[in-house]
Amino acid sequence: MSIPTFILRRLLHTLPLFLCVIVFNFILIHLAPGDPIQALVGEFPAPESYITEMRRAFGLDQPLYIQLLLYVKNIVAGDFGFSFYYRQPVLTVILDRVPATLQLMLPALIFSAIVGILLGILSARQPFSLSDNAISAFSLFGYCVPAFWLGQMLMVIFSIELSWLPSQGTKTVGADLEGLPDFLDRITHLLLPLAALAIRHLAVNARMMRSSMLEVANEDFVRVARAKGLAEKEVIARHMVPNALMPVVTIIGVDIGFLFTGSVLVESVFGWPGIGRLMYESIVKRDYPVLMGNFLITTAIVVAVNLIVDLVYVWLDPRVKYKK
Amino acid sequence: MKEPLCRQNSLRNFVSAVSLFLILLLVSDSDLFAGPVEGNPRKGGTLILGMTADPSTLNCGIESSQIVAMVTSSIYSGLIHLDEESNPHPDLAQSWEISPDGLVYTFQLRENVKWHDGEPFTSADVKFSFENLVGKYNARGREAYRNIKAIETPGPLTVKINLKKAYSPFLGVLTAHDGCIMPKHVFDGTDVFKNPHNDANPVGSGPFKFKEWKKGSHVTLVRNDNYFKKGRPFLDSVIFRIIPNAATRAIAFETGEINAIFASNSFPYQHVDRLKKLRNATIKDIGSPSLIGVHFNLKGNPIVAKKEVRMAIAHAIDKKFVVEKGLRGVGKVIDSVIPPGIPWAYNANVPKYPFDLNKANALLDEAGHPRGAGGMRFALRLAFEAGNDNAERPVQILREQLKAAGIEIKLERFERSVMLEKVFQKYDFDLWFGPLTTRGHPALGTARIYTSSSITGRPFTNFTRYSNPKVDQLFDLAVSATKKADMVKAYYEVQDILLRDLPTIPVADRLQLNIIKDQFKGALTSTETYERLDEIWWVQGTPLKEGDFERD
Repeated sequence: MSIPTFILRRLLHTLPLFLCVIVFNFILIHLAPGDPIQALVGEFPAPESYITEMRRAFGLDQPLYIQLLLYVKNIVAGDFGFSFYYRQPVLTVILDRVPATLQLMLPALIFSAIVGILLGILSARQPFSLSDNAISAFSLFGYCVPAFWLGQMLMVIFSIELSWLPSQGTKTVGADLEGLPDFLDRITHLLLPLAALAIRHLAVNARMMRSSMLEVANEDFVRVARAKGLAEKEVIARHMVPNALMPVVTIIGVDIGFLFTGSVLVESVFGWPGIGRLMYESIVKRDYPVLMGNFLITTAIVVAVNLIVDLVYVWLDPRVKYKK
Repeated sequence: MKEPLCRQNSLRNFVSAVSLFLILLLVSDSDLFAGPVEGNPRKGGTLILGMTADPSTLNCGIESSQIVAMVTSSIYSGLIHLDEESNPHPDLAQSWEISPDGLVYTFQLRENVKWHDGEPFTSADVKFSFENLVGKYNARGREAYRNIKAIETPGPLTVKINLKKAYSPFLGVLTAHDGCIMPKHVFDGTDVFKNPHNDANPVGSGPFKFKEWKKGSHVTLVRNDNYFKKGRPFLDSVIFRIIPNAATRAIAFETGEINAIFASNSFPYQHVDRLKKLRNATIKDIGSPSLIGVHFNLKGNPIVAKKEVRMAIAHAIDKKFVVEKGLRGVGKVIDSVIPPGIPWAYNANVPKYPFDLNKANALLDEAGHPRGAGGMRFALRLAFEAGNDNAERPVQILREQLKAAGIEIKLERFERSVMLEKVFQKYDFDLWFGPLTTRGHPALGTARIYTSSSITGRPFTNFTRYSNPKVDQLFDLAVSATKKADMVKAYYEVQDILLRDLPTIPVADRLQLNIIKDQFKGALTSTETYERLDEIWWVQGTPLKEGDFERD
């Protein structure tokens, strides 16, 4: 099967998945108690007529199954609905936040992949040595520590005590920087949330790479490579690493989903204006359309990344073929 | 040999010190060394405020939650504004007259007021705002202005508002929060909910103009050079920085990333002890009164329907301890349902229920609830809002205090929207503990909790389902009184009855804290739920002379 056919087939497979995501999330959201109109009004006894009018305006006066059918119909037509809270099209609200999330997630993904893999290789070179044990201890810490707690600790150390790094947002507001100073300003804002978000994934990647490398080390082709007199560096770089990468690449694909989950907390702690925080806010405000839209877009991104991961397999391992 | 060298060194040090002093004196801006600056305001500077969430819109005609008003009340104006004792002061209205029967309010508007787009402001804008925006689409406005019979505009700068019946707190709902005045030329004939000026380029008449709203990050406003109050505002710009997490909001204040945190929903109360220790900042109570207390479901559990039981619970609560430990001292113990934050209406001589466990036990025995196995008499559910710092810790203390009287408390912690449904709409609770905003007038904040007509199943109305025709009559009397003395008398009596019937045990008046860096001056105390940013100035700004600016 050619690659375009494979991509097309995979995309078609995602359609039922999207339908399930819509129906499941729709039911889940509406099962939760709470009224979006009340969340909007705040601590004030809004007149009954006002609440009735708003329910009608938001389509909340219809039976639930009609609301669901209308929603699916609108999604097919490319209409994600209208935010109850922001009173703007959902797509506008979400797309406004996507760049900030990508600005945080992509560096976190790349950083955790590269550093995780390097630490894994380093660890596997001399199993149970001091460096291996140190990396394992660090990985265990990174895996266990909650991102929101780590975020606040990093803030206390680097923002309050040392005054090295800012604690909030993507850039210094009101400074109107441009060019290189703007870039550096953004980098300094990125470091703490990046560390808080990436550490767990870095730890997982390091552990996975280590065990994968140790597994590959016992394979015949590695023994042959060594027997024919290749330098150890060559053996690792050309024979062991490409073969050990397969499971790590799978994990990195799965990581995308977890990075979204993690970003809900990290973005809230660091005042990062991304879709993770938007998701949290729309739960609190019962902004159903934004929440549904958020779930859908997140699903789309996770599906897309997994598709890319599948394509990377072929590049990494020529034995993998797309079977019919 | 040593002495001359020493003398030489001393001389050199002295010369260096003098030179350094002179250089500093020459190059420095004298303001840096001026120490604390008081007196006349100064012009310039940017104030960065922390707030919990994005406003939902910048159209205060359709939405006036506190978070919206925090931003829009600097972009738009009201007819009046209130001081810390709820006295009205001119804003868009220069002056006003109230007819002797309290039915007609005539406002003279300021001359030469311009909207941010340069169009002139007239009485037509006021009429349009009340009839087509705040009075129609805004939840608070629709409630506040339903008593309006007709609005006349006899001249471009005169507005006559006729009421159906006298309504004593009417001036209090004409501030930029409740009654923001919107431009007719921008909204007339448009779909108000989808008007592009709702979230970009709002056209107001207030001290600051809109510059930018980066959702999830910040809203920036800049000085309106054509503001109708001479020489104001003093600041060049104001940035509202959105920081949802309370702990990080406190950190951002400490690191200087924000200069101030205003209003009750943005102040990180959990961190008040740490913030109090900061040397370069001032914390103060802005005096927006509220009632924190235990409210009973009188038509629910038959046990709490008994007055003796409610009295016993009142005697079993050590309010002082709840305030000191539960509210971290950020509150005052109160004995009445109208808090002392509304000084003219507060009745200090209501029936009191001092902390007395023996009396509580005796009352419960008399009510037919002797202690059973394990020393407990009965169990009650106590509902509260999850994450609300005014409830989370106090309810733990209440549970222990009531346990001593043999009452087992089962805490029910609900997320806000669930709580609104369970407690206020379905009445599925025995006791509820939490804060209620009373605002600057009992007719606005207190009547809704205790009048029979407020048993509506809507959030923040009469959820105890207390009903007493005498109380209804007194609230009606107060709201239509044209003399303040009659109003005060009625509210005094209401409080006396409510404290005898005890649908609520008042525990505390929560302090509404503002924190601001000392380099900013002029932040006011007010019973309004927003801060008037045209009052604030920066100590390193350019000094202004008397006459350069309008005083309030």
